[in-house]
Amino acid sequence: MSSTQMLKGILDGCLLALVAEEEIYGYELATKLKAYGFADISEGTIYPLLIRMQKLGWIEATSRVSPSGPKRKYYSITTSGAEELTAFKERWHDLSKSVESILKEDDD
Amino acid sequence: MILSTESTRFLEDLKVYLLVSGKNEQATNEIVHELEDHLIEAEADGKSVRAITGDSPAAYIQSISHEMAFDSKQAFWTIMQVYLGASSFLYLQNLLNGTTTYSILLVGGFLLISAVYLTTLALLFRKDALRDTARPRLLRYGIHGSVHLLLIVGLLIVNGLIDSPKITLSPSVGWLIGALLIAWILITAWKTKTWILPIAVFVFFVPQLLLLFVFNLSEITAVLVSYVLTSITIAVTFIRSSKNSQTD
Repeated sequence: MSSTQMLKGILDGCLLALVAEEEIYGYELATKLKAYGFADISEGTIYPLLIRMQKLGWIEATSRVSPSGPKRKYYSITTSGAEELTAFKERWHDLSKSVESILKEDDD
Repeated sequence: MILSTESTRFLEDLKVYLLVSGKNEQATNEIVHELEDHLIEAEADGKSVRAITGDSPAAYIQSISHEMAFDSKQAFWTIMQVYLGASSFLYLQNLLNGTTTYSILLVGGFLLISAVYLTTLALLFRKDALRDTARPRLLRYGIHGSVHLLLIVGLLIVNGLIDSPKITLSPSVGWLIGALLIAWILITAWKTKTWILPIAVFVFFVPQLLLLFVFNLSEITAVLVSYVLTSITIAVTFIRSSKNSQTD
């Protein structure tokens, strides 16, 4: 299984965490993801996810003029997005603990 | 900064695919604008369109489309407007010529052929937007349009050969339907915020009426002058709107 396939289910949570840090626009978000080591995924992958998260009410977008000139869509987290992020962190914590313990057993 | 040809084509394909798939126009413009902004920065950093879409721009376009809701209201008004575009010119021209008798076969056949035409045209646009090569589009659309023109000619011939029930409208009912049709054109234009159809109807029929009844010119001269005026107006409107969308 490629890391891209493994990532699909958890990318929502990662994006939510980054949006929660600060108001952010698409290119910046993609660049940050890469900086955190998600180099395998194509940059555009974030946009269908951002559309879905907006539909779910987890994030909201405001369009305003950027420092470099054109109008840009900046994303910020909503209250329900923050709740979802907390739930995601708990799920991820449990999941990673389980995976870790299985992998540890294999190593022993 | 100007985008590369590959990126520009990707954005055009994305926009066409989303609009023809019945996605909301404003939401479509927003995502296209957002990706354009992304591509400008990406290209400035030396990246290609594939860095954004992955190996398959077509699959990427579909993944965006999958997340966007079908705007049934907008689709309804757009279809109504296109349907009216085709039928209003024929009906109003017939009305001016004094023809108010229509066979069921002609009306039914016209509606059916128009529906097939619009559906296949939308499918053709969608398929074209996902093709990954430089393509001779004009030929395919030319063939598609010609086939439907032949179907209309075929319908007119069959209509002349087969006697089907006819509806004859009295002049007052004919003009009343004409007035309702114009009102409907204005309503759909207002709903879709696209004024090309009412403008085309105005430019086609008002000079014609003036040439016929004020200047007493022949019918054929009036129709030809109006046809040329309408073609110029439509061409100018399209050029202006494409220039506006480039500067937005």
